[in-house]
Formats: sequence, structure tokens, C-alpha cells
Amino acid sequence: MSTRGRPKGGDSAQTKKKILDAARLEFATNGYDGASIMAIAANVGIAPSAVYHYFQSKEKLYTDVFEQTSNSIWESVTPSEDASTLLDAMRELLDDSRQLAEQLPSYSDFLASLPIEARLHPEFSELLEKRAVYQDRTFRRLASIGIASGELDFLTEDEATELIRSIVMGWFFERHFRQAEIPNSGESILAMFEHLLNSD
Amino acid sequence: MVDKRSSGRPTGKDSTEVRDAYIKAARIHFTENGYSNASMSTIAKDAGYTPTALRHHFPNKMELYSAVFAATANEVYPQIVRHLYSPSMAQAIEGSMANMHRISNNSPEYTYFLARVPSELRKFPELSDRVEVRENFTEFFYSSLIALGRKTGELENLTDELHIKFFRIAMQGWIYEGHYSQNVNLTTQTALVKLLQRL
Repeated sequence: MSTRGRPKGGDSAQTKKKILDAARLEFATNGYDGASIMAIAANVGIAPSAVYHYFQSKEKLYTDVFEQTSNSIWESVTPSEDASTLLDAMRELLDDSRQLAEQLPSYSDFLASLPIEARLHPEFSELLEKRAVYQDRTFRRLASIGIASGELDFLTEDEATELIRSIVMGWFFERHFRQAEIPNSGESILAMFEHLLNSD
Repeated sequence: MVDKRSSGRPTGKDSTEVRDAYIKAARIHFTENGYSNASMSTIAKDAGYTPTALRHHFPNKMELYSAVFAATANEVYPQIVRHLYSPSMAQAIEGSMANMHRISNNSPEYTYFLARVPSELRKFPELSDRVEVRENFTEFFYSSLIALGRKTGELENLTDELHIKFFRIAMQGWIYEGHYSQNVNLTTQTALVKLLQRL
């Protein structure tokens, strides 16, 4: 006998994931205010009421997309434990970020628009704090690699962290705004760290 | 004696004052709500005039945005550019970033408006020829900054192109990230000046 009706079991997790994917793209493209639950539902092939079954409100849906997207992005761009120089760690980070932007453009676009959404909608200001936690974890780790290797040993940990934050986010936002990197900007960052590595 | 001039509507500069009131109200609406959500009638109301009067000065939202950009850039850019006449690149970085920081404390809507421009351009490419001066300014500022460092001998080893790209990314990143995370501080400035001493 053929199976009919709603398949059971793992299906619900899969539907949830499909909704998150469709919602990420919708939020990234049209912003929070412009995003339509109808469009998200239509993309997944379910009724709009089913979206509310999984996520109680548009606000909850946005928050969950944020959590899921941040987790996977920051997980993949955080330098591996065996990176011994900031140059290597930065090269890894830039390459991972480029790959993500190419394969999963809605992830980068969603995260780039988050701070602006948080300012428009004070109910999301908590997400800005969470964003800072994700950032700090990665940038502090890069800073301590750079200080230990000697590349940034002339800076305090806070100074190194803020410098790296400005560089990485500057590179990231310029790419996002233009939908392409400023030519050779990634290479310039790496050449600078290479110089610092070899000049000691 | 009664001064006749004080009664009734003053003539002459009146129209400029009205225009300034619109620009001031619009700057706040564009930064707080974004270009797409900003409404001409709310802006007119906040400025204390009717939407019809607003449209007399600015026929559409694009004209208004372009006027706000020009007024804001005219206020902010000269305060940044004057640091290019510093005796050293280190002082130029220190001074321009400190100045930007000061403006962002005293008139946050000015620097936040400018920091939002590139994200609006991404969404509304039709605005790009209205703010073309921005890209020219950015290129002029960073290439002059590096030329200064080359002249003073602060920059020796790496190429000009590499320096221009690197300092541009780091300083623009400081502006974007500081405004977006609502935490503009001067730690990056200290770090960049120390880094410059290593070049």
C-alpha cells in the first residue's frame, strides 16, 4: 500500500527548516516590515497558518532565523584551534566567508541587515547584544592568536580585538553593499598581516 | 519707537529657513526609518508645514534625500578633510577619527545618516547618482592620507594601493560597525596609530 496523508516523524523538523530557509531569504530581500508570511508559506508549499503553528509570530520567526543563521555563520568562520598565526587565521576566515557568501548568500545578507533592523525595531535590540557576543568570541580569539604569534604584540588585547573587528566588518560590509569585494581588499589585509609577521 | 521691520513675516531668508527645517526633520526620519519607510507627509508635519508646502521645495522623496545628503556631507566632510593637512599621517588618522567620534556624539543623526547611505544605495541603486560625491570623497580621502604617509616617510615598505585598500577597509569598517552596533569608541584609532609605527 502506498503511504498517504501526512508522513510522520522527522517531517516536522524538516518543515521547520524549510520555513527558516524561506524566511531568511524573505527577510534579507524585503526587510522585516516588508517580509510577507504568505510569501514564505507559498515558498515552502504550506498554508500561512502552518507557519504560525511552528513559530508563534513574525517576531519569533525573525528571532529564530537570527539564532540559526548566526550559529552556523560564526561556527564556520571562527579560526580553528591549530591556526598559529593571525595571517593563517585571517586567510581562513576570508576564504570561509567568501564561500558562504557564494553558496548561502541569504545568510550573509540577513546578518548584514540585522543591525539596521534592530535600530528600526527596538524589540530586536536584544539581538544586537547577542550579535556582539558572537563577534567578540571570534575577534578575541583572533586577537590572542595575533598577540601570541608576535604579529600584534604591540597592542593590548582590547586594541587588537577592535582593530580586527573594524577590518573584518569593513571588508564584510563593503562586499555586502557593492555585492562584490572591493578588488584586492582581502589581499591587502593579508599582505598587511604578512608584513607584520615578518617584520619582527 | 516701534521697529516696523519686526512685524509680520520677515522677507528674504525665510525660504532658506523653511528648507532647513525640512532637511532637519527629514534627516531624522531617513536615519530612523530608512529611505523606504520615511514618509513625506510625516516629515512635513514634523517640520511644522503642510505636505503641499514640502512638495513645493522637494517634488519627491528622491529630491529630498539628495538634499539631505548634500547638507549633511557639506557639514561633515570638511571637518574630516582638514586633518589631511596634519604634519603626519598618524595625526591625520588620530584627528579625523577623533573628529568623527565627536560628531557622532554631538550630532549622531549626521554620522548615522552618512553611515546608512551605502546600505540604502544597495536597496535603491537609483539614488547612486544623487550621492556620487560620496565615492569621490572616499577615494580622495584615502589616497591623500596615504600620500601624506609616503611624504613623511611613515610608510615605506608596502605599495600605495595596498595601503589605500587596507586603511580604507579598517577606517570605514570602524565607522559602519560603530554606528550599526551603536558603540562608537576610539580603541581602533589607538590601534591604527600604533600599527602605523610598524610600517
